[in-house]
Amino acid sequence: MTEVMSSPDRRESGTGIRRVLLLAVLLPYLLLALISSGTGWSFPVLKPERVDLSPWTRFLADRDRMGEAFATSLLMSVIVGTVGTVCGLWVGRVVRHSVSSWPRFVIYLPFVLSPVIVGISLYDLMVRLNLSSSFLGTVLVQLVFATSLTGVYFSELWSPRADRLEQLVKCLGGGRWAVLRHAIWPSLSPVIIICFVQAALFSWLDYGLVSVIGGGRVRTMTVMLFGFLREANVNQAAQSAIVLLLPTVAGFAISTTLLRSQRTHSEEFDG
Amino acid sequence: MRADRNGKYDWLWTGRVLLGLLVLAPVAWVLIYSLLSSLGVLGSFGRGATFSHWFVAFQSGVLWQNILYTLSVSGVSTLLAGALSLGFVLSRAEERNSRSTHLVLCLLLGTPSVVMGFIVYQLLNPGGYLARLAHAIGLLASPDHWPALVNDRWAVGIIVAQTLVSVPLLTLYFFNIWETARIDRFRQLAHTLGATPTQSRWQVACPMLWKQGWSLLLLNFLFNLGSYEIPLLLGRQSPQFLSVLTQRHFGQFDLADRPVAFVLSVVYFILAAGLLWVMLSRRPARD
Repeated sequence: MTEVMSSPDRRESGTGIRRVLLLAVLLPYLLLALISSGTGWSFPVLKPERVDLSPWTRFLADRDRMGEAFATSLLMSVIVGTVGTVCGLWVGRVVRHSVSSWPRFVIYLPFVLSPVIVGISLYDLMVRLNLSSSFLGTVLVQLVFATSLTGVYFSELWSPRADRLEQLVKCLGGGRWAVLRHAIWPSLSPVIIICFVQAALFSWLDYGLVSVIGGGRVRTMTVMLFGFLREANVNQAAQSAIVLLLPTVAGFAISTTLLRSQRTHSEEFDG
Repeated sequence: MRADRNGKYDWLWTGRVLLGLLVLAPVAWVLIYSLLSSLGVLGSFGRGATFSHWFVAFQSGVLWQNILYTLSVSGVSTLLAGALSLGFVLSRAEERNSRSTHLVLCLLLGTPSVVMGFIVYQLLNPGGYLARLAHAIGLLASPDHWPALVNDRWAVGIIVAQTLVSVPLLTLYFFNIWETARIDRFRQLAHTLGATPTQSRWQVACPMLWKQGWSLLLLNFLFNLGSYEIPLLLGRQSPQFLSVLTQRHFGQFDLADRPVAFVLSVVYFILAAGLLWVMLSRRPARD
């Protein structure tokens, strides 16, 4: 295997393929940036007549209350991320230590179900509870999915080290908070951060639940983006897409890096 | 719900209560409410149990058409994404240590479905960037000659977008399996026993990746099955994805159409829960 990999020909062709692939992946994002700042781009011209920051200046001038949508999305993400992670920690632990396969099935269900279909079925309940078309109602329904998501992560990535440390802390007379501080946090901190990021991103990117439960009154970034798409307002749609994209890419980069470090860490400890 | 001296049971009970309240209760509500509404027992038009909404939904054949459409488009996207990511990992396993590959995968992974749908639309629509490129090199005289690749009959746009969303996650997962299952060592062993690199790739690495990766493929199929934003942007009016169709029936002005949305909801629930059960029951038990 090594002799095949180290062959100079292959390495050169590999670099060539890599460059082509890299270009193919990055070009659509470049296109997105161009759409967001270009004007006068009718068929068949390949680049906009004018590329400058004026569309962005207009966008940031907040005529469409983008600031409010951004703040709503951000606040929603932080709440869903935090509460979802705390609940998921408890739930994931139950699922991890359960002998029966039912808890695992239950925790996976919202993870795989379509949010919009669940939202439609929960809409009547939200109306009865006077929570439809409200921020709180949307957050509550998002929490069902966030808890499922983080519960799945915790149950799948729960480190045996946390259990061993917990036993040790208890043997030394530690209470519940000592267990959290000295056993759970040190061994699961990367998973906790991953869960927070993923739950917050779920909320940040959610459109199905916000549109159904929020009923048009809860204005988030995704709702704005869809609004621009419906109006065929390509400039602003691309700008909202970029605003949505940036934290998401950063979040996934953090998550995958932490996952790698978590894996290496547990291998070192277990192996 | 008493705690023992070590405080172990109250932890577990807290988890059980949260699982019941935050996950089980809403999911049970979704199933029971959808079922009763589809039977006309609940909802604005609840006038006693009737199967008429189910008959209406299934008799016209439209529902079957939409179910088959959703299943086949999700299936094709999953298979395509699985083949691409498996092929990439098998042919370029060394890329798992490359920082630039990792960054590119994160960029793709971090692209939300709605943004991916928007990008694919901008690339593939008749006035889109690929059509402009084709015109620039003389392959296309006018946008009318461009084949329908979005909002089209064969769901090309949906398949492309769903595949692009799925590939990075599957690739990272296969890279992870490659590392944790120590596939390099098994291939090395196969080489010392006389296998060629191609043989060790297809007869050692591929089955090992498949054995551990099929459950994620099924999970990915389930995600595609419930996809909403991509088919909403890139799909046609008919047939439609189940989630888009459900929302359409639910959001229409004619309230009498709502029970059909719940028929769809029950069908989708049973389909997704059944496949999930198959996936979880066939997965090897954890340590």
